[in-house]
Amino acid sequence: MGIKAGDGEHALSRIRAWSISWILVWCAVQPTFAAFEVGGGGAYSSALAGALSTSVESVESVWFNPAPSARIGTSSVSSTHGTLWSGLEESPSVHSVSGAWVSRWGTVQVGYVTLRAQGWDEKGLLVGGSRVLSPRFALGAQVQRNGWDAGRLARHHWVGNVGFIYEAGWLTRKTYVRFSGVLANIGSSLRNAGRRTGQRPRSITVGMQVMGNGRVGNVDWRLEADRWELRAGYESELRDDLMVRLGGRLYVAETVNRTGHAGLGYEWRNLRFDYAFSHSYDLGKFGAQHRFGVGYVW
Amino acid sequence: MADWLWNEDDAALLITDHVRLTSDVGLELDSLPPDRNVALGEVAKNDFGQRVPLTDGEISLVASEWISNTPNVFGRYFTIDLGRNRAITRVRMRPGQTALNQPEYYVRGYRVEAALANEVDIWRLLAEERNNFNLLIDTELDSTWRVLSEKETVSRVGQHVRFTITRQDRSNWVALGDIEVYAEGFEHEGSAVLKWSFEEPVNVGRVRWQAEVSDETAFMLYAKDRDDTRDWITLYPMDQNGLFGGAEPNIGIEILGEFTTANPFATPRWQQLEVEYDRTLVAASAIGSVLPNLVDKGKNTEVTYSIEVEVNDGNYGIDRIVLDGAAMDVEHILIDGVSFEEGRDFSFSSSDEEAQTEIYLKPFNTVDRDAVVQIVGQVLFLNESYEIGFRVGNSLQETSDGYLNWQNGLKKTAGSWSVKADGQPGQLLSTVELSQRPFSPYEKDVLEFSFVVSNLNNPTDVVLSLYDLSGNRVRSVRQNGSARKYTIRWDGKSEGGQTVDPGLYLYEVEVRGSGDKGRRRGTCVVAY
Repeated sequence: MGIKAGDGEHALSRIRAWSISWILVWCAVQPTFAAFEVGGGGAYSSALAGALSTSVESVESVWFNPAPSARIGTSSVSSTHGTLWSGLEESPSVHSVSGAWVSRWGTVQVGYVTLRAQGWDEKGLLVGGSRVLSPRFALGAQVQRNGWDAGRLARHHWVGNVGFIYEAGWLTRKTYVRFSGVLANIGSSLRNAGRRTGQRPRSITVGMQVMGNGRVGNVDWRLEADRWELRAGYESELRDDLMVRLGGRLYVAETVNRTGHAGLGYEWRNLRFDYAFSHSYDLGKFGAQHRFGVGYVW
Repeated sequence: MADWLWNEDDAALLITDHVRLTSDVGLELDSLPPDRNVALGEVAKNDFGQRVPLTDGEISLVASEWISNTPNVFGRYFTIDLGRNRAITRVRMRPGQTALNQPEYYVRGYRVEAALANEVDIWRLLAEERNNFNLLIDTELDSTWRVLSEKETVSRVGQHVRFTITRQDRSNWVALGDIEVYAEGFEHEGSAVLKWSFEEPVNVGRVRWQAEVSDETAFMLYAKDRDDTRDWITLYPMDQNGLFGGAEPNIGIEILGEFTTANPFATPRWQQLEVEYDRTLVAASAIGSVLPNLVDKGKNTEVTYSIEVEVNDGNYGIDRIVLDGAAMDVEHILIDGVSFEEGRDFSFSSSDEEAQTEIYLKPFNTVDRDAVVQIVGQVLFLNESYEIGFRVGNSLQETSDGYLNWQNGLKKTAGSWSVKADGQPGQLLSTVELSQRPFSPYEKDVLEFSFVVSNLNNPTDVVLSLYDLSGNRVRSVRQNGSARKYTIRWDGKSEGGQTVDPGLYLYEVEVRGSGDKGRRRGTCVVAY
């Protein structure tokens, strides 16, 4: 990375500078409103409650921040199948594929997700790139096409996402910290001819990752119009090839939704297998969510 | 159509209970008589919370007195709950028989306080005598009484009265016989019944009234025909305008007004009553019965509702019929055995929510002669028992008077409107049917969630809740009812009144208080 242990004081001053910058950006965001979300995260990210905007460990981070793939190191692809709200008579299902190709000029990233329920088909496709601009700073950008199809009615739209990650460095000899920021859904249009379009409004996310001794902790805070969300995830190695993951999410809108997440990851040669379970404290009556994922790294 | 105004006609019989009639304001609650002991029969408790026999109004019986069983009576107190706030004018403590025989058993000093119904911990001093020498304590004779009208310093309104013994000497035993409380203001409740007879059978129409109902007072109005076996029917208290619901035609009606107040200085006032009645009847008589009277619960059953109609010259005749108590899917109508078909000869609408079926006969099919009308259709019975009544009407009358004066039908026999449903249907809550998928709020007004609730004897809330995929509750719609078909409608708007975004939504239908058996969950789609 080119960052020396012992840079703690400098790292703290940079944290303050970035915090102030992001507060100013946040104040410039106009509050808007959206009704539903397209979720592209897979089994890895779900186990960590979606706290992935600063994570460089999985290709699934492309759904949360365009920048981390710049530091992913190796090309990889991952696919997830999930069942949402298992307590429903006909549960919606979600499928997603994420990929990152690392080259000498940067990382190319792609993602595709579908959410299917009776009479409803939702799709998301993203393409983007990311690049390390300095030893501490990496930047990424994406274009994303979201659309839904409800039989005779369908809509789609394009939005853009930009993000960065910033290597704060070693706070102590064993603790490494990085930060991230994402501005998502740039160019979304919430209304057309006086009617709501179903697009998600612009959102801003700030995140932090703390690593050390085979453990990783992530925290993301996202503001989307008048709603906000706090996501936290924790990953620890049980063995060299077996990881356990825990996460929690607090989503505050007109009502509050709290969810708990847990999962396992297993690595075998170049393959990665992931499972995630999530359950809502407030909407548990609709059942839990299960996601299974498989990935390949080369 | 004619009007009868009760305050312009002396022919009505007025029976009042704690209500008075004055020429300028009408009927209002009577004033409390100054000699009525409002504590009589109410509960008195001592400072340990034990009931003591101090409010029975009897001082001649030793059994009704309270005698201290300890030489230390300082600080003992007794609290009387008057049941409601009263404007207290006087408190008397009469000595017990023992005190009359042994004069040293009198109270040496005392304090009298009052508190409002909801403020029992804030006591206001009414009187305090630190050196009493009288066997009979009477605040009317007590110079410390602080609520005499000309020098009133504290509010005397209270529900609770506390009498405390504040002084003692060496002969400390005390015998108390009775605590009496007197008050002024209005009675707390009363009623007035107006009975009226018509010269000939009439079809009673709207009942209109005018009442002045201030804060802390209430007024309810009921009506029935002059048959003592029937129950009172509530007229809507706020509308000041209701339709008579008793048997018709009839030769007399009774109107009952109930007055209540929680404020001793406020009373509701019933100022005016107007009853509209029609001497021209829809039919001379209409007598109904339903078959079968015993059905299987939870199954659609073919039901025949028969109405024997007698129509004389000068009657309007029948072209509208309402069945009250059942939502029927009408298949056909027979009039004297001749079949009438839906669409060509009649139309109908039925409401599960109101348990009602309304039939509209085409003008050329108006029943204007004696006939037997049979209404045949399917009814889903989900409760234990049903009472299916009926009303008949005529569109010409509606046109001329501006509203439909239904003529309520009569029973053929005592149980001829009754249907008993036996057996148990399968499940508490059926599957939920959605009227559209996707639902487009700009094309259709509402998305209907239809289902059947069975095995529910007592009315409860049936709630539809909608959530977006973020877990945010978008809307909650509630209906109250018992076992029946339900159709809950969602207009596609959030609690804030805005049309929701296109998307996939989760819904839950819940029969409150019934656990998991009373819940169904699924998804619905909004798209536009």
